[in-house]
Amino acid sequence: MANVSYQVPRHSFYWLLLAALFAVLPHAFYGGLWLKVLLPLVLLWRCRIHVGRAEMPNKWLRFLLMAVVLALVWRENGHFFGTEASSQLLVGAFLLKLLEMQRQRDAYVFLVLGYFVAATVFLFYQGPFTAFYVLLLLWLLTAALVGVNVPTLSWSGRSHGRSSAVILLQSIPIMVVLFIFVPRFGPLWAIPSSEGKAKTGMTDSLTLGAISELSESTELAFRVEFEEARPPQSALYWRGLVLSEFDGRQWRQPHRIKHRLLLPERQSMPVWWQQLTQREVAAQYTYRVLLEPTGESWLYGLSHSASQTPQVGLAFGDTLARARPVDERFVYEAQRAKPKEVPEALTEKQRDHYVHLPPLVEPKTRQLAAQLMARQSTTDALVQGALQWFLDEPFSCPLTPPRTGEHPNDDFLFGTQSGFCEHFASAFAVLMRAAKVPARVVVGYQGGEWNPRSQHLSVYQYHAHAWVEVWLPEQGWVRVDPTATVAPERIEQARTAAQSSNSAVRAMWYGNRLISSLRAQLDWIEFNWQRWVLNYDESQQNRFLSGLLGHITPAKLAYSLAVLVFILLLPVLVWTFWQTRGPQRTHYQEEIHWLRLLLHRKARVPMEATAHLSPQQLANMASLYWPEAAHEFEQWAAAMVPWLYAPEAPPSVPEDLKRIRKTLAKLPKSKAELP
Amino acid sequence: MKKQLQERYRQWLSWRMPAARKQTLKQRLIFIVPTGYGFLFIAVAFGIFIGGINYQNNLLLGLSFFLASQFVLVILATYRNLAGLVVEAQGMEPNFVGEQGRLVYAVTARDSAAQVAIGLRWRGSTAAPVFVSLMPKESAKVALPIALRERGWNAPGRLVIFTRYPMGLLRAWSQLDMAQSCLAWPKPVETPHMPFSGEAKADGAEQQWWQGEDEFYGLREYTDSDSPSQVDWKTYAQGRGLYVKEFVSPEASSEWLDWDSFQSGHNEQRLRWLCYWVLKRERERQPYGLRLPNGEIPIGLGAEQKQQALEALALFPKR
Repeated sequence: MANVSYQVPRHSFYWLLLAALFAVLPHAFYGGLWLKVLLPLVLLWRCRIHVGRAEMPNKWLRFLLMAVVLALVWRENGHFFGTEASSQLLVGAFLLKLLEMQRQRDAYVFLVLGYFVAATVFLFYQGPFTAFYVLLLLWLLTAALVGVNVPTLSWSGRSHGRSSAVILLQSIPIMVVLFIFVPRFGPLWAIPSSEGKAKTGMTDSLTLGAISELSESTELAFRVEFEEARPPQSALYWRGLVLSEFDGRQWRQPHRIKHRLLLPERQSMPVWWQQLTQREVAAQYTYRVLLEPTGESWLYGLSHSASQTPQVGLAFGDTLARARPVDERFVYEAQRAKPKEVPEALTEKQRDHYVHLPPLVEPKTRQLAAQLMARQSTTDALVQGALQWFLDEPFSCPLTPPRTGEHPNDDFLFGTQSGFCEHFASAFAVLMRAAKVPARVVVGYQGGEWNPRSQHLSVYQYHAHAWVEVWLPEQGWVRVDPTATVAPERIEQARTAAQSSNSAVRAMWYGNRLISSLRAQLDWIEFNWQRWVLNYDESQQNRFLSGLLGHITPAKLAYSLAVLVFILLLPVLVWTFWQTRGPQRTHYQEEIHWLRLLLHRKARVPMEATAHLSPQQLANMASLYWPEAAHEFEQWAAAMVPWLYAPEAPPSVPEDLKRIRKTLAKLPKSKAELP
Repeated sequence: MKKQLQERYRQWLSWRMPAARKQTLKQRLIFIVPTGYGFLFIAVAFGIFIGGINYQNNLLLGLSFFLASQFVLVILATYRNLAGLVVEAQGMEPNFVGEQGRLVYAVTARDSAAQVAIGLRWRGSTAAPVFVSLMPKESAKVALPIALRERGWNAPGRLVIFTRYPMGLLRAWSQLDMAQSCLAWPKPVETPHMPFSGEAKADGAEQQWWQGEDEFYGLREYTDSDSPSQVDWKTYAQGRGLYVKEFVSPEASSEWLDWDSFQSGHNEQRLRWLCYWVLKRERERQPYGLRLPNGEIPIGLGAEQKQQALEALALFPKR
């Protein structure tokens, strides 16, 4: 029995192979090298089996192959849990199943597993084009499944694609209705967050050079929608993290407050937050952020932003943060208003913290600070003086700044004088601290690309930025951006990757007008996709459905779901019953049937009485019960005779018969008595 | 209890699907249920749904809804693939008891669409089904083998017509009583002695009762001109009327295969022996006639003669 291997019918083999290729391809892109090698190998092997050049591997070889796959997955992930490792295992097993098709059953199992593999694609990619790709994959899988069900060897493979397309196209409307109406609820159990893969984005400390690396990335960071007003481009400072501890090389958050988070659900919030969320103070800007997964818990927002989204609270330095890491796309709303009251003064302890510098570092910066302090009397003037100093010195913002040495700020300020935003921010903050002005570094994003079509702002990784906040006694924390002072064009204009990238091809990609309008279109599609499809959650569903149905009750929901599905199925149902009526009457039978009906209506002859009569017999009957029509019936019977004996039934009713019909239809009802 | 239920089911079937030689598969004749793969498919869709909830991933949810609606549409598609099919009983190929006979059906697709991967088999049979795929309006002949268990007419049970096309997730089927049976000839069994006098005498074996110059040819009805000595009294004693024995020359008389030439053996055995001889005669291309208690088949040779003879043997009344 083991030698009798099942042959996938020739007409469906290539559907099967294509389905396998398309199912595994996204994982081969995403996963490690082993899948890239295994995929073509297995497909080639399977082709050779199909043409009879190779054998299906035996049990031991299959066992060995599976062990190799297990080992490779282990080597890549170090474990078998989690999203990546388990989907790699699934894909590996799916692929190897291609080499184990001894029975028709195996082909079925392979293809039904294929639907599972198709689903895992969505764990890694969720764009509109991915959805389209998966639709294509479903088409292939369904076509292959259709093919496996046709044992007739001479059948054409093309019809599988057609059948599959018909099923898929019919399914789409019902799927959409289910998508809209089936209630959403929270996770049933906690799932392990996607670990391992490093995401591009901010880290929780600022090492010089880190942001410049980020500026090479064209990945999306988040999108923002504004309600009504939108701040000018130069005010779009998206605060992510506030860093206040400097060890000479690195800025980071103070350790003891790193994870502190004020949640409106649990703690009492600052006055300005409460006023803003309770609408006591009118919001200057109201906006919604659609954040891409970061794997971190901090969020991005304008300064003095409050949010009413659950689980969103206030972290160190009045930045927004979430209670748990953002492992999936996350949407939050925020309002921003400039606080009216004068902020409370810093405590002595806080003041010490914000002016602290490690001893003996950056001697030249300290000298400069002493000079500035001697010249200026107020803190405000001191800050302005420092900025003026930056303007006077020949600072530059090249694409590849030189490396700095033991005293990075000194080297930058008095040596190379060229660097990125983080060099400027760090140097300026150190300078301020040396001058005893409380200062801290803020990292986040600056600007964003406005899409006029969908009225939203897209912020990419290359918008990453660092700037400084200084404490002014009357105003509180005030933003100072030394980079903007030196290279204002970077802030005033929307910064694009063309300016931050050194690749000629990339420069063209982002510089060309046509391509950038195309990019805006794509961005529009992706934005709407994210907004209407990916983020269609419980609240959006409630809003949408209550607009449609009024107050939502489970019964109402179930009822409207059933009715809608039925309405959508109706055309298919009608088509089905129309198509399966069975053999139809021929024109000849139709003609006789019509005359019998006429006799029934006009002369009240029961239909049963005229069943199985020949045209001549019908004519005789008519002469008895409907004498007025006797003549026409005789003509009719005569006209029917040649048709009856015609070797081929004519495609349509002959003209003379049509004429007789018309005359008959006009005749009055019979006055004769019924038998 | 189980027997009773089966009987009820059989009765219900014959009420819902009465016997006919030509049937169109209409809605009331068709049942539809998910296959094992159908359940696997639903399980996969459900798994993806759970995944979608746990990962809060709308695309996974969308995919599971897609699979669910696909399943619903496949119900209709599977039904569509079977409905409208016309099945007509066409003929049969008889065979000997213990062999396989065949019943032939014409299966015709409806006018509007192809009907693919239609399987046919008998209810309760374990044999592999026969599959046909038809283009619109195309007709195919399907010969279904049937195991012949007893002499005479063998009813095959209901004809199961099913399909899993297009996706194998559901199985639509119908059970039709095609009002058709297959004829089984008696199984040929070799017999040492000949069922006719001529050769028997030459062999010097058993003496037959009609010993004489001439070979016994057959019986005909008695007329007034016949001598009483020619009357077949044995037949008369059996209460089957007055017959006259006719004799022919030895060459000709050996052509008759006679039921009554056997002294031993019950009815079925005699039929088997006679069957053997019919076949032997056909093989040797020697003309023969067949004489049974309920009638006779005149002397002849060839396919038609053989068919008539075998049919007569097959349909010989059982007690």
